[in-house]
Amino acid sequence: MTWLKRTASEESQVYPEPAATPRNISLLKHQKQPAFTNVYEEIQHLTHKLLKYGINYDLVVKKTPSRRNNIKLAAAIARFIARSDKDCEQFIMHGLSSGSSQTKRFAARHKPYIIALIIIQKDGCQHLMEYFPKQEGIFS
Amino acid sequence: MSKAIIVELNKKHAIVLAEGGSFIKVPRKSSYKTIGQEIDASGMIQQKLRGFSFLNWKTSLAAAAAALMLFFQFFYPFTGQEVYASVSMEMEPSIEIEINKDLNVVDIQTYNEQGEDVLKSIDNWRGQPITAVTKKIFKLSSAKGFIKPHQEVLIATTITEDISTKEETAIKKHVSTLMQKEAKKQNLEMTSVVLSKKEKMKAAEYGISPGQYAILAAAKQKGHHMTANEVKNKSIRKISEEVGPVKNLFEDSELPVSKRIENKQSGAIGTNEGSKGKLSSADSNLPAKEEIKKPSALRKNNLQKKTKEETGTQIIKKQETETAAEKKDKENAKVKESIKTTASKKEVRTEKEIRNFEQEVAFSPNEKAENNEPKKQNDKKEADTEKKSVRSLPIAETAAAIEEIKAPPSSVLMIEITVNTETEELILSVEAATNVETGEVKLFVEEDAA
Repeated sequence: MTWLKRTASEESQVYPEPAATPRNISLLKHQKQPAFTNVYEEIQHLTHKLLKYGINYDLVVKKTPSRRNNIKLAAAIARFIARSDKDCEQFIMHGLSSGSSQTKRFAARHKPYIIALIIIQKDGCQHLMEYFPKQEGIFS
Repeated sequence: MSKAIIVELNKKHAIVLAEGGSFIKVPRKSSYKTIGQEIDASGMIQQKLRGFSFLNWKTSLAAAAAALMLFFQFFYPFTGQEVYASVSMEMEPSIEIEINKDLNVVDIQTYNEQGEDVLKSIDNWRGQPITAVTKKIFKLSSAKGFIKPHQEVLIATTITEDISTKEETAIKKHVSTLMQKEAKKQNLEMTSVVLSKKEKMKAAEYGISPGQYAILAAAKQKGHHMTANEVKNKSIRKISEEVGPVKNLFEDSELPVSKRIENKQSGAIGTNEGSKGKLSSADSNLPAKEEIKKPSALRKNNLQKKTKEETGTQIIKKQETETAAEKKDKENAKVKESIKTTASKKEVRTEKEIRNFEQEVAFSPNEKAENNEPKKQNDKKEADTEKKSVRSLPIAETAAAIEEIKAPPSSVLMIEITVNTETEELILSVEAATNVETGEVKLFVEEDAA
């Protein structure tokens, strides 16, 4: 009954080899993967998103804090807000919900700048993030 | 080396995201080619970001403002004070004193050498009350021989600010009384004039003091040929030598210059504001009775209310009516007509009823209760319409005297009150009381002749 036996080539034709399965990677690794390959894409994304909220770069320049400490504070606020979508919506629509009145006033004054930072933080613009002050301390 | 990344590129400028997290707008350079290009931004960041410094523009501006304020506080302490009135004194020295609301001297201007001479010898006049400054001026000018007893002095007061009539009268009164006192002390013949703001402006155009302008205008009205230069160069004594006494220029003439003129001779007081532009002097003050007769011409007006407050004279008019006789006649005629019409409408009445009705209408209910006399006696009263109840009383007893007047209830009294400023007595003259409800007039017969 050998004649009934299929050769290897014939076997491969009838039952083709399964395609190579995708590489198994962890969820955290998948999340950390950069969404943008280069800076240009990040800038385009940022510009597009800012325009969606009616903000242009002129306004961002105008609302950029003039002092280093204030930039650090704005970055901390942006980091805090970027943790959840709800907070982002709340901030964009109504302003800062928690914090002292002074902080709320500061956030309202520099709102376009903080929104730009939130977009950069949230959407993972790694190249642009390098230009902002690094996180200092545990809760900042 | 700090770096930045180009975020936006325009023809003239570029927006970069500099290290440190600041977006900066910089002028475009030829080396800036594409978005996302990394550039050197050390100069930009230093320019944009800075720590706290005391020398930023806001603090420097505030410091400059504070310095300016301090400067004005020390060197111009009276810059905030407004000139409410100016008093021009025309004697040998021609001086104009500008005063504020509190009657403190703000500024003094002189119009001749003598004035300058007097002003030089007064120290610290700024901010002092006008009383002290005028005293000094009079003292100095008498000491220097500029004024002598029985010499003429013209005081021209101008209210420069738009203030309430109360304040205006208060300032005028204060100035006039002050000047009277000083003139009395120095035994001077004082004539005071009140000028308007426009007239003061005209005087400034001519380059003369308001007092000199008043003299010029009055002299022109009297027919004397004078020019502004002549008035400016000559003293009041020389002018009075040429034209006659200055007080005579203002007497019995309608001047556009003066609203009111009080002419005083060594403290004699007399005012007449009711004349409105006409001038009067203290010498021509009328006795009390004559003054009372003056407003009788006003009775012709029908049902007019006028109140006038004046410094010397007070006339209070509540209501003026037609003479009682005329009114009663009219009413009777109306009643008769109404009776006739009712009769024509087949309402038959006896003659007795008609007479009774006529009597009822002719007298007010109160009057009817008091007087049940026949009609003839009332006609006699009507004939005495000119008579009035006249009393001369001290000022303190005025209210009591008005209460004493026996007028029927719900009636409006027509009272004239004249003040004799010399004796400080009020002369009350009550003419008639008009009943508001019925419109009838009750006459007052003379009680005590003053």
